[in-house]
Amino acid sequence: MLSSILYKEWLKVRLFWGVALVLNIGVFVYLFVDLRHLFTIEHAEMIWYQAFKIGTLHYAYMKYLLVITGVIIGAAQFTPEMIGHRFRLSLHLPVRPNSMVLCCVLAGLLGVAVIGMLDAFMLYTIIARFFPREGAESALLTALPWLFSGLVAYLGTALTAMEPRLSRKFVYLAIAGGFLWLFYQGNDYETYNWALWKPALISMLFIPSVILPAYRYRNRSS
Amino acid sequence: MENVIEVENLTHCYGKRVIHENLSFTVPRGSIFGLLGKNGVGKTTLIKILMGFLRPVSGRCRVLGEDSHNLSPAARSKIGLLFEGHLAYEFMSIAQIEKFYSAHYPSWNRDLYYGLVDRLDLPYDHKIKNMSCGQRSQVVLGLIFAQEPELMILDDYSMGLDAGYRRLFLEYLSEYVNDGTKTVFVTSHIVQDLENLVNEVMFLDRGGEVLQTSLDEFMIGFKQFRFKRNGSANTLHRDDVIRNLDISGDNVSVYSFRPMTEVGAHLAEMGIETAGLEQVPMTLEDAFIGLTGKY
Amino acid sequence: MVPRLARYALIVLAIVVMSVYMPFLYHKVSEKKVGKTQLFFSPVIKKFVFREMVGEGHNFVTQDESGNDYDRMTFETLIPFVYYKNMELWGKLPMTIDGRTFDKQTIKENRQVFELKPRMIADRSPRIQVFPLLESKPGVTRLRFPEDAFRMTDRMEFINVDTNTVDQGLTDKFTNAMKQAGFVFPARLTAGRVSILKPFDEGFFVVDANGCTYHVKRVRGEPVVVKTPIPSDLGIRNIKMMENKKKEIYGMLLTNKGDIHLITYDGYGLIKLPLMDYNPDTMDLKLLINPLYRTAVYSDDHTIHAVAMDSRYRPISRYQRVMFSGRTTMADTVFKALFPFWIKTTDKTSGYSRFDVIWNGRLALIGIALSLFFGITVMYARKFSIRKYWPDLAIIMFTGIYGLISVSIIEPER
Repeated sequence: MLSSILYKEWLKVRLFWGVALVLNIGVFVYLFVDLRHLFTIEHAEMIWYQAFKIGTLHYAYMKYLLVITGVIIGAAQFTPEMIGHRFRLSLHLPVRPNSMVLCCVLAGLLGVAVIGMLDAFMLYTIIARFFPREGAESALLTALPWLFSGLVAYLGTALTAMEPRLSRKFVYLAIAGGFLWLFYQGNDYETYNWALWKPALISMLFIPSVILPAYRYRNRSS
Repeated sequence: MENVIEVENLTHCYGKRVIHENLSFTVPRGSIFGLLGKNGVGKTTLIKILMGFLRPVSGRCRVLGEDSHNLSPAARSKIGLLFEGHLAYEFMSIAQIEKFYSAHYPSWNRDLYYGLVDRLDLPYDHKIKNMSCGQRSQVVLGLIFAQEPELMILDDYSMGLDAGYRRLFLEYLSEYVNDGTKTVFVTSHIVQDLENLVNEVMFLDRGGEVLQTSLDEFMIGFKQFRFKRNGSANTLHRDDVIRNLDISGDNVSVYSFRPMTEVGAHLAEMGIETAGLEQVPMTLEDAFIGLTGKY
Repeated sequence: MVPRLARYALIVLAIVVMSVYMPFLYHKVSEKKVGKTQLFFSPVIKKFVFREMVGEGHNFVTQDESGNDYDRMTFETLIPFVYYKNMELWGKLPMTIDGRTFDKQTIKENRQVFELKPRMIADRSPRIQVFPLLESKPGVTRLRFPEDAFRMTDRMEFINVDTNTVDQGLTDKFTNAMKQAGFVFPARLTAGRVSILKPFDEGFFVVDANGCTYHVKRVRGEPVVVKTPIPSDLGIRNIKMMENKKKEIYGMLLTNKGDIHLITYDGYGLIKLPLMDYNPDTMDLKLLINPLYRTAVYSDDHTIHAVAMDSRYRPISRYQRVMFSGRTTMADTVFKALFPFWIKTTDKTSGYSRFDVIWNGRLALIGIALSLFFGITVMYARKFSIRKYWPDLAIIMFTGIYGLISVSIIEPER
């Protein structure tokens, strides 16, 4: 039954997931083209110096890419449920409502994570083309908090969309937004090497928290 | 006889507006229960409460023996629910939505679904969002029949359906309730359809007023009387004998649960001439309008 | 039950977010920037003198260690090697101190500054371990980055920047030279000043697997590797190279124990700086070399220390003081009372982000008591039974104002 719910979420979201995927691929194609251009007009040793000593992040414009992806997928998944109270359709399925909600959220997380992993692969491959492997590994470590922020952005969107009351929506947005920003504290490479695991672990609390707005939806008095 | 739905002292308000007040009723197994009332009296609200999508201010509701606010997956699998507006997953196609729902219900009858849906003569990959209102309704009703639920709750099933399909649907429904173990709880704007279908009715009125009775008793008990007024009947008003009245030119119709003699005497007492007082036979729709009034 | 847990999950998240941003905002609003004290050793009066900001705006005191006040101009004349340009402007050059005469040129040539901030220590900031080994004798005045860069793995591997592939020939040449000199791979530390904006290049100091330090240069394309006599059991934590025209000191070496040694051009001999109470992880260190004295000044946010030394780095005088900027202010006290803890995410002494919970101590009990009071009030007003919702009060007890706000905004479900 839960696999059926995954099937439903996929059908609902696949177009937007595809759009997000194309967007992500597009950004990395641009990264490749941009780097190639840079290495054509500049001396490679200067670019390496900027990257390794100065700390220039040549891939910095992918910083918010997965956040955008998370929001797209979250909105595509949950906005249709909220329009016309279509969420009731899902709530009437012969599945425990909490399991149903968690299953939906896991489906979305998976969608974001797949794109995130693809981003990581593309990032590594492209950077390794122009820089030694240390540069590519560093890029991955640097991008890791941004990839996590994408998951948080998705969960924050789900949380906010499902909440029936407007004032609470703002509260959840503030919490998710504030948490998201915790992954963007540094401007140099690899700043999160030692600290990432803590906010990343705590952010997993967003997963069980989605049960609350779904519960509040069922317990509305109007 | 076991009750499939039990409602006890249900009260619900939207802000200061009272929708239901100490509403109590039961729906026995095997009955076909019609819930009638004008727009806005709380029919859909009641269904939302019964299905656990809304928490009432006070009162108790039980469906299939379980607290309506905490229906188990097992109970939900026995309830076929048609939402007002014929809500459906519009991003799915005819085939996809069947595939999705069939996985959730063990006694899924695929033939029933396609039996109804094939009549649309649409390809199976046709998306529901690209269908007309009526076409969507057919798909949704097909899904409910295929589920073969013990309890069917249909909130305004007739929306968007053409006359032909409505007839077909009623045939399916009659077939469905034939064995006496299935229960139907239905609302409809087209009151006439229900006349040949339901055996219990409940009328909801604004402010929480309720009348529950068997259809037969209602049709026998509730009468329309007509007479011509000769300038009088200006003082005519509703009371405990005259349930409702309708004055159109010189023609006056009064509605009452009392016999004609009692009504005639009551009118005479009020000083109203009732020349040619006669009982007028009513259909269910006439009786419904007579009870609740025209707008 | 499950929705209750979901609510607590959200409350924890809200508390975490608030404990980052509320203290941050508080500091933004309340912080009155007072700069750090500047401390010098005056070769004129042979005492330590300092300039300290004691309030907002340009509220300075300029004093010596005995407490004597000086006006600005006098103060600057007490440290002529620092303000030698003003000395020239005021016609005070050449000047004579201790029987020796110094003109502008002499002062300029004999001034040097070495700096080591905690962020600069190798293990306190991320650094991609790929480095350019400059040609030391390029035959031109300006240094250039080579078309390769090296990494220390099980060999000294050179990568061509244009092809991004290993240059086998260069790798073998240098690796063999290293091995011949006795180098044992892999390296523990690779240290050099990666820049072309320096007067010349002295290559890299590389510490091998056994702790021995090697000096590696590229001279006319060929490797020059020298095994230095720097003891292998010194426990080298960091080497900061500073090429200087005087060619007296290669750079500063920091040991695991927190000692600072200068690596001299005299056979790589080490001069240990006589620092007391120096903590490399929290203190900025500056070594000011001038024609007569060497002064090491090191400070954290609270205290500033200094030791004045002679030309052979023997200590002459020491001084320390708690800086005005390091005093506890009312805002600090209120902070500690208001917030039971806060989460620190940035650290100016490190290139790495943090995510550390910092507890504010006993003062926070005031804030907690107030929060509990308000929490109970809110619960009564909303008619929530304390017996049923005691976990909310427990949350307030441990998290103070953060918990109060969280449980009040994310109300329990009735």
